[in-house]
Amino acid sequence: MNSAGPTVWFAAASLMVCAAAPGILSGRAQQQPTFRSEINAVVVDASVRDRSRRAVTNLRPADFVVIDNGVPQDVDNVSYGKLPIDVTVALDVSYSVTGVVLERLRRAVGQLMRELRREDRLKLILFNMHVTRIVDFTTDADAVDRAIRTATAGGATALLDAISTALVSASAPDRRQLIVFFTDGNDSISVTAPDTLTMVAQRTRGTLTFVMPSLINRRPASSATSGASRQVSLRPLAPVLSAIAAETGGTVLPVDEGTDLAGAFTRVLDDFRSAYVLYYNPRGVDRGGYHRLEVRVKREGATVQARRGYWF
Amino acid sequence: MARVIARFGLVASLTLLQGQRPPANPQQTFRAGTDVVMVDVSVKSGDRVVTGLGPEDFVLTDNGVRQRIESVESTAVPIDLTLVIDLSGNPDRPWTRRIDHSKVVADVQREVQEVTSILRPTDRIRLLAIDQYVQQIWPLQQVPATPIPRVEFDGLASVFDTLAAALIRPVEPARRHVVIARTKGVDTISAIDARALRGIAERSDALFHLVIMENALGADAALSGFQSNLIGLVEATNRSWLPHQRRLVSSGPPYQLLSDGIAVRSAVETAGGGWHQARAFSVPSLTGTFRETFESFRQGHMLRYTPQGVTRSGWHTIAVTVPRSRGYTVRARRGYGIEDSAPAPAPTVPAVPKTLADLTLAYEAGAFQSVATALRQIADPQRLMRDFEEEGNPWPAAPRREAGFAIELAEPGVFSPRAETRDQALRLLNRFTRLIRQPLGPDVFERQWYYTVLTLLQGTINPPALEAFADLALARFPDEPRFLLARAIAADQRSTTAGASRVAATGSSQTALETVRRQYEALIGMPAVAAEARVRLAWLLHRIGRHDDALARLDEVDVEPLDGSLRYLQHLFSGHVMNALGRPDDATVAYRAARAIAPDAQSAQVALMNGLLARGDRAGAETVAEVIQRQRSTDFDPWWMYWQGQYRLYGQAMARIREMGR
Repeated sequence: MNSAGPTVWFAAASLMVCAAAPGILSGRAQQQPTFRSEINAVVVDASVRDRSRRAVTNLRPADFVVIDNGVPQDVDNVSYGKLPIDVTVALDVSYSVTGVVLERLRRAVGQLMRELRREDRLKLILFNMHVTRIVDFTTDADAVDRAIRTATAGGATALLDAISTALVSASAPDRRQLIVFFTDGNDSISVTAPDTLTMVAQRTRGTLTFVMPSLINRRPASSATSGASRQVSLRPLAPVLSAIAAETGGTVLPVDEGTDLAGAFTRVLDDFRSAYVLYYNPRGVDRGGYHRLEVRVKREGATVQARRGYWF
Repeated sequence: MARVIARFGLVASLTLLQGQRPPANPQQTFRAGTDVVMVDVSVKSGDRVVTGLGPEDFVLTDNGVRQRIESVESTAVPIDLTLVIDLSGNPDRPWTRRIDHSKVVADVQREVQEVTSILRPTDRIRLLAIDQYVQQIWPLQQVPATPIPRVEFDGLASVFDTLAAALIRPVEPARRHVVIARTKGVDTISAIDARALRGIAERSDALFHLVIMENALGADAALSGFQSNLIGLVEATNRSWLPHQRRLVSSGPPYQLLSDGIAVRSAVETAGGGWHQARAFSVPSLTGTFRETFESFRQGHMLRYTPQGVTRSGWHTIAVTVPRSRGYTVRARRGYGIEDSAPAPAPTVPAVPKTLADLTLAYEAGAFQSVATALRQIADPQRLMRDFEEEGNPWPAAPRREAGFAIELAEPGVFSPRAETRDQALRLLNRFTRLIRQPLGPDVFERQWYYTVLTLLQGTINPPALEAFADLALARFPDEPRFLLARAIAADQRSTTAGASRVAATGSSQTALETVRRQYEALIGMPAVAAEARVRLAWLLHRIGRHDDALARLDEVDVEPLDGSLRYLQHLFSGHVMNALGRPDDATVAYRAARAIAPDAQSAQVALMNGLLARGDRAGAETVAEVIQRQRSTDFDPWWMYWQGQYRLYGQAMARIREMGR
């Protein structure tokens, strides 16, 4: 890890958007000069729920407890629902996803697009063994709809490679990053190992959520290569995905054949949107290396979902 | 011996003319009726071989029409000698069962050595033995230094089958094929009869000599039978109790020719060879017969003519004389046959073959790619395979083509998601493992066929099926490195419960991995597969945490420049190993090297992206991520095919099979 200077730090400690206050972040086309003087600011997304899984609102900085590598930190500021969101939707179009599911996905993504606010954007990635961005960040719902109609299912699955690529992809630092994967959780040919993916998750800042169908219309293989792929797709990676999602503050949302996919995608977006963004300047901890994070709130019965650490 | 250089008939004869002047298009060359016939002629005056004769000395008639002899050439070309020895029954001491195998082998070895001592360095020899099965003790080779391995003897007699196997061998360009066979003249188990053998001999290009030793061993057998049946002192050993003996000569003096013997002798003489039978107490020896034949052949004449004034197709009776000296004995082939040469009208090949009839038609026409593409799109390969098996070989005269077509049909089947379809495809292939066997032992086609099937099955990642076929292949070709590699890959596939991902290694038992490791280690000593064995061994060592050993193996890899896949994997794996050894800078260098080999392959890009991020080069990682997402789709990524073993070579292997089946 290079720790030569503030700019380098910001580039390397990629998981965090750093700013002194949310007001500084908005409306800046060129962000780096802004952060050069704010090198120690760390930003953490934190979703707070009560016992009924309802979002807890109206929390102040003093309501949060943030522990960075075991050292309690003072939260300087919080914001709630103010930052624009970049949503990356990655759809598994390998052999195991049928045309029927693809159509449901198309509708679900269309619904998700409509749920976005004016300042929010959506990017669409399709993956089987290839990881292909078919629409870059956009607010154009029609473009997304047209693109997803061109998708056809087939081939093997490079799920871990797709996750890694989605996490590493450049994103604007003044926007929150939500990455939603729709996948059956199988991987047959990724070159990325789970431990490598953990490293990537720790060094990037997107929040990963997986929408995982359990038994949605698995399609049998129909071609030579997909037949071989079926043979090697023997181990679902659900435990690995759960761990990666938790590392980034995200979750795994299982769905079944009767699940309204559009509703599921909307729920993922709502949960992400209802998270707080905490800002603090780390004190009393070494700067370099991995920082394990723990975030709590001083409310009885409330639970916090936040990423588990970041790389400095 | 006559050689008919014709499009039809003695197909093997084409090779000679090709050797002299390779035609650009053999079919065109022979279609115009310019068939050339070559006849080997031996002329003797008493026991003296007459040499130095010219075209004007000979009179040759073809179906009674005198022909113009275009040239008389020396026959001092290299010969391929096929020796056939009869080991059926007890070849040594028929009055006792105390048969000493080592003595039988030693006797055969000694006798064959006497023959080989006559051969020239350019000559070659193969050795067949008559017993219950046709045995090829030596394939065709230069004078062998290796000792004769174990032979089977004292079994039933497959005389006709073995002689047929000896005669059907095609003659190579600029060589002559001489068959010298010694038999007791008793056949008990052949599938063909003497008349079929005669038909084969008439169409063979071999100079065929047969040595009959019936009288000598017949006496032994009689003694044996007498002792066992009347005195009861010892047990009978000859197979006189067997039903349906087909004898060439009668079992006692004066050893007259029987009907089968007449047919075979006719075959021998038609082919221009000789019938050597014991007279009184004189038994012709193998060595003596060959010496005589060799000398006669070496000093003989080869007459060349283009048939004129005769109908092309059908049987041609030829007669050769030397008119100016009626005391000469002239030995030459008595005829040859040409089948009807009228070419059948070319059938119309369908653009998109769908039915079995369409597919076979297209395949026969050489539209291999259309057939392969169509087969991959057919929804029910099971039905197609069933039809193929029920309807039989569409090309009875081209069994190799049929065997190749069977692989084409099986390909979509082995990849089918339906278990019953996969099973049927495997059964089809399994059936052909028997059909492609040559009676004399494994040949080049069988080796290539197995190789092709094994490359295909590696692609299915079905270790049990791959292992089963690898075992079959190794039973035929025990030392073939590619088959040993296939078996190692099967074990490797089996050892990874999840197959492709590195996460799979956690599910492998140490025992299984150790087994695979040993197999790869053994292959490193075999140059043909050493590079691939090293790469695969390195990956296995990396998976089990032996990173230093893995790196050493990768550093040893010396990959042929053309095998980009292996070179790619070598660099990709080096990168992974470097990362594991805490050398991220070296890892990114390795990943870049892999990317340089296959710029469109995704795996090296992803590995490089991850590696750059691990080094703290986030900007670099983002750049690569952008490239990955925008990259045009390509299915070429050696890593994606890693667990499919040598399936990457299936296309090449299949192309070779198609070529061999033409």
